[in-house]
Amino acid sequence: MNGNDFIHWLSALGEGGWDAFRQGVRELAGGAIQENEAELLRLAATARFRLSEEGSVEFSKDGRKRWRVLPPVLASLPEDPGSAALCGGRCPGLLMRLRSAAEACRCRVETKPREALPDRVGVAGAPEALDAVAAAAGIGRSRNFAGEMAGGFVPVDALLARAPAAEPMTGWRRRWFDLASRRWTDRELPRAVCEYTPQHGPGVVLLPVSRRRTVKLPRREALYAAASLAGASLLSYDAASETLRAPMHAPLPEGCARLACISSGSFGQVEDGCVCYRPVPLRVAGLILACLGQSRG
Amino acid sequence: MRPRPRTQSTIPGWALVLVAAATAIGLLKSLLRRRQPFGPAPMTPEEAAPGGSHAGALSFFADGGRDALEAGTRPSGEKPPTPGDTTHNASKDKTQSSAPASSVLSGSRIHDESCQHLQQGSLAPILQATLSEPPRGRDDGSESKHPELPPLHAEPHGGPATAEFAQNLLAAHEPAEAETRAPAGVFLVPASEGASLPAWRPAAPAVGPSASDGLSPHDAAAPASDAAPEPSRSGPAHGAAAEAEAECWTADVPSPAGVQGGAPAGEGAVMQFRAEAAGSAPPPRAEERAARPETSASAGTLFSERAPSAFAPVGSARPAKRPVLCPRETVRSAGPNADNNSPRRPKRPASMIDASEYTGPGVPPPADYIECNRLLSVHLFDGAPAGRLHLPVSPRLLATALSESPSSRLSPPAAEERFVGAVRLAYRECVLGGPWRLNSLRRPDPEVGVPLCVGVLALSVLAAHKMHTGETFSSSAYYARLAGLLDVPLNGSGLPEGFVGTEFEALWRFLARWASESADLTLALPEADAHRRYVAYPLEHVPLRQLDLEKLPAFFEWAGYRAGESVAVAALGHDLDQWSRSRAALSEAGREALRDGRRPAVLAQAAAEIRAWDGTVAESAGVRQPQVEIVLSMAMRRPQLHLLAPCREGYPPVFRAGEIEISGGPGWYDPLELGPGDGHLLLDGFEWAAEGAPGCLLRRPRALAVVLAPSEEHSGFVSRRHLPKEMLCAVLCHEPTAGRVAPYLAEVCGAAPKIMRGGSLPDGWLVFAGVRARRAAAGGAPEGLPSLELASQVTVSPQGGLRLGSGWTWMEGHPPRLLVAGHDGAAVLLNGVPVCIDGDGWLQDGGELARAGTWTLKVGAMERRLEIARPVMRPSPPPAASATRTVALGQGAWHLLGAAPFQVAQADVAGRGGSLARCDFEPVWAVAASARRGPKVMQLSALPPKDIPGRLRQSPAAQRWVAALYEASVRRPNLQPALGVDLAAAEAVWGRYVEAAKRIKRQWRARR
Repeated sequence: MNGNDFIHWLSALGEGGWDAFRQGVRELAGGAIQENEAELLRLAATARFRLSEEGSVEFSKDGRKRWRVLPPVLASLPEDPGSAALCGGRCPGLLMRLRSAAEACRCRVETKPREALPDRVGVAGAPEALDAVAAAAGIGRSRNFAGEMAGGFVPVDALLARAPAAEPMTGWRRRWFDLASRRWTDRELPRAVCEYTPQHGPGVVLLPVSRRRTVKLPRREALYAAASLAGASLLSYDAASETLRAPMHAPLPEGCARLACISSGSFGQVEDGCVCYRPVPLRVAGLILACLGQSRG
Repeated sequence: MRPRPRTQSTIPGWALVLVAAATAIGLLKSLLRRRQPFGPAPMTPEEAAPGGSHAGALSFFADGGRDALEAGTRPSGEKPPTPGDTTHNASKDKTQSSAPASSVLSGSRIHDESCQHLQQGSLAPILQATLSEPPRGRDDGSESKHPELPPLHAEPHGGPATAEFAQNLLAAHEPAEAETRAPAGVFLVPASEGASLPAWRPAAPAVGPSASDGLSPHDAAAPASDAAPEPSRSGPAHGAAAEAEAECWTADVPSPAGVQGGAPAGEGAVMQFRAEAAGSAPPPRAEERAARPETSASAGTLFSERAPSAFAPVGSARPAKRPVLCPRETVRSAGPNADNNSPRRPKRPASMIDASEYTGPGVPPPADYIECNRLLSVHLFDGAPAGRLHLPVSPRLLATALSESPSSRLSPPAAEERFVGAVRLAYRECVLGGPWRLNSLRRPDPEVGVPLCVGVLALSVLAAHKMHTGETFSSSAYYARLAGLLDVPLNGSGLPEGFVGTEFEALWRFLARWASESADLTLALPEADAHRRYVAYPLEHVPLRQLDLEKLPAFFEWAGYRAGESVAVAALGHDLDQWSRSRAALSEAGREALRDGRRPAVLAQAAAEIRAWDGTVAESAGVRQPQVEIVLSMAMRRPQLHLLAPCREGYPPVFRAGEIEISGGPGWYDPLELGPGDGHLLLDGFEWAAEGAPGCLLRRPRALAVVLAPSEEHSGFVSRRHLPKEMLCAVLCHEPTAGRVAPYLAEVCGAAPKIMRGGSLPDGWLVFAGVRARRAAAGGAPEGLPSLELASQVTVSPQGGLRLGSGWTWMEGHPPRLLVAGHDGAAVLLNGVPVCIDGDGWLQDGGELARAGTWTLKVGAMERRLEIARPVMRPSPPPAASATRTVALGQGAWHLLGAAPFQVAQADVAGRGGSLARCDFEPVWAVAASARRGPKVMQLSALPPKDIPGRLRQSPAAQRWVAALYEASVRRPNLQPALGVDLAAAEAVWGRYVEAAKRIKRQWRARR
């Protein structure tokens, strides 16, 4: 699958539904994968999460399965002001403009091809020159992308406070998340996140926050909210190796995963049943941990 | 009809004396009878009633009756009091023997009897009594409705008159009498206007050559009658008569070629008229009038209208009416009853219209207009069938054209709103913003090359589309609707402000020329002698109005078309004929358009509507019932069925109906899998009403067999109304019916299709796979299974590819595969080059379609264009800049402190895992508000404290800032330096902050 063509196509459309997204994957997948629905679905899901984590496409969380290409931005972190990554949508014309602007501003454009994903495009140069490159290419520029992203985060305590109350479903298939084993289980657990799945359509995730109140939350956020309420630790951060670890069955919520990916410059790697992001600067890790109620000190 | 002599038979001088005497008597009677010193005498109800009398009709017409007529309140069977009535002609005839004292007409009205004569279209009853010669009527002896008129510059009549003539005149009321005395081309003005208007004035306002009106000397020498007097249309409703008049007036108003200073021609004429009126300019001499071309003089007739508001008497609540002279053509074209035999004023031939590209100065249109113009042009040019370009603009078409992608489709009202808003802005800036007016749009878009006028012309068509009888306008009131869409007032000529007919016509001609030269398309244009010259242009593109267009979705469903489908014109015409005959759903006007010469335009309009159709059929009660489709896909080599429900505009994001809950976005809901127990849904059909969303229904009719074929929008096989020819598809069949279906399919396919059962198929249902219909069965489809009939038209279904937008545009390098069905061996041409179709119906383009460009596929009579384009970023709004700063904090109560001594924010983090805190300044310190020793102080940045010159006000914020620093400092804080700052440096900065806090505290203490 040609990831560059895919992001160019998505950028030209701007927004759309999951069906169109999957059709695009099918078209680009080619060969035998086109006939293999299961493989196709896996590929589409991978592309969906990868594009979201690298900050190119945003997916709705309201069950409508919509996607939207984010505006292109040249993003830097205060920890490394001399380099910037191109996030958001792109098209051949934009890349051409970026390259010529970088050349004019004596910056270096680095392109790293990735399998089934768009190339990773980075620009290295003085912060002021990067500003000029972004302006000349007609794209956004952020010197503190992590800070700006964190501005849109909703901490789990705030999520819990505003979560709508919901009644447990009857007749739906259920499973619970065990904070101890960090896995989903069919064994009923008290005061644990419970996922209800109907015969048709999407499921819902409910979290009992008290004896009388159960709230509805997005699945990933619900897991961290439950951990926050229980005082359990799901995330860990190793300052020495600058590694942020999340359990495989409790992945980071999308915004936090995106921040971890962009700040580390790579996608999470699965190691020992955990998704590891490295290197994540301490400040960024602090923001993620605090947002998810996982900060311990 | 025998032409009438230019002058009447001679009336002797003594007759004129008699006439003058009669006039004087009439005047005296009038003065004695007059109840109101100013304005018209009040009407009796009989007079005011339509059809009561001609005077009544005139009054009705002038005093608001026009509005009523336009609103469709005219009693049935009544002849509309169009200005075409020979009243005017008669009056004008009589004006040949004139007494130049129109002030005597003040406040007077026309006598019923006289008017009846006049209304019958002839002066015969009067003239028979007065003139020695019989009236010049028709040769057959019938009364001429529109007798040939002498030119206005003709000398007054002479000839014998009798006492009977005077008697008749005396018997008649004063107005008619007086009108007979008005000189040719006189505006008859009520006495109330006498103070401000000239007692009489020439028919032509005499628009002379002036620098301000933008007319060339040649144009300025044009017939005086060509210049527009001010018909003064006030109020929102304007009738067709007024518009025909306005059209007529502007038809020959010369248009400046290119940009010239001054007001628009029509405006200039109006201004000139006002200036002249105010100045009481003397009438031109007889020889001057005689020197004018005949065409100008022959155009005059009487017309009743409201006086211009500028001339209305102060305090007059209702504008006074006054008869004015209008061009002959105005009268003729004013209504359906107008006589077409009357001589027509020569029009400027279309060949004289400047259709060249405008190269003068102008304001570039706004970006949104350019975007709309581009999208619309692409949609219209690409969808043009058989080399004919129509602009059948409707809200539904706009929704398709302006929607970038099928998934983010605009609703028709939203698309119309966006489009109208864009054109309004462009009109305001480009047309009203300078003297170049509409000319500034008579050039191509510098970036993409399409004419800039497409948007404005499309809006003019949209105005025509809305022409149907409503509460405000009559069905034929065009300009009022156009003005409403443009959001500009109507000017004195009854035209939208800034609108000049010739320039409007030039835009159409320019587009026609561009389409012919650049796109090899022939723009549909009206005939040269079309009724209502300028309105004919947009009307040419909407033979079916809104009323009929709203019924077309029902036709599409009846004919089995799919939303967005491209249907061959011949098949469409055949189907539409059948539907129109069997259902009689089209209006009479629509049926007529389908029958007469407008048929190609009707079919083009219907074809455009199919392309723009979203599949919804609105029921009469306003309930929308989009049909749920069935999708067949293969999972693990087993057939799997889903229901695919369209999610139309206004439908809830999550559709709940009982146990059914489906979610999705604009376009389609997520597919709903059908299980073994769901067979009844297919067999019996269903209708789901959304809970909490009244009027939102989803339905599926009952069926025994369903044809499933490849779709443009979805993978898998999607249900269709008919069995496509030469296309690999499947048939879902209820098992008891399979016995009838199998032999039929075997016959049409030439081989028995494969039967699939089991899997997750609903119980009692099976699938015939590998169905490829090759020929029609001798006996037709099995009875009761109409969906198995072969589709008759050629269809081209694009499969796959990366589609850009809702049109037939794909991304470079990823074109679609084209599946052609129903071609029956017809030649298939791609950009004129013959191409092959393989045995499965796929077009073999040899990889040509991967290249960027515009490609035209022609299969028999069917033509389809597709574009392969390079992807361009869709503009997205930049993220909103936010000054909010986010800080990660642990559990506890915190003070966030900025560099300035009033920047402080409080954060209480309850959770043990910490949280995020936000403030709208750059935080430097996060100080734990703890009473214990060693409170935690986190340095967030290395900014030094900000010095505030002078004394700091002791505000609550400043007090908290100072207190937080001071109290933390006295408890020996546990300091954590910021990233990249060592502890010593952090302590030094902290010390400076503490020192600043102490200094401020001392200041406040000293102040006390």
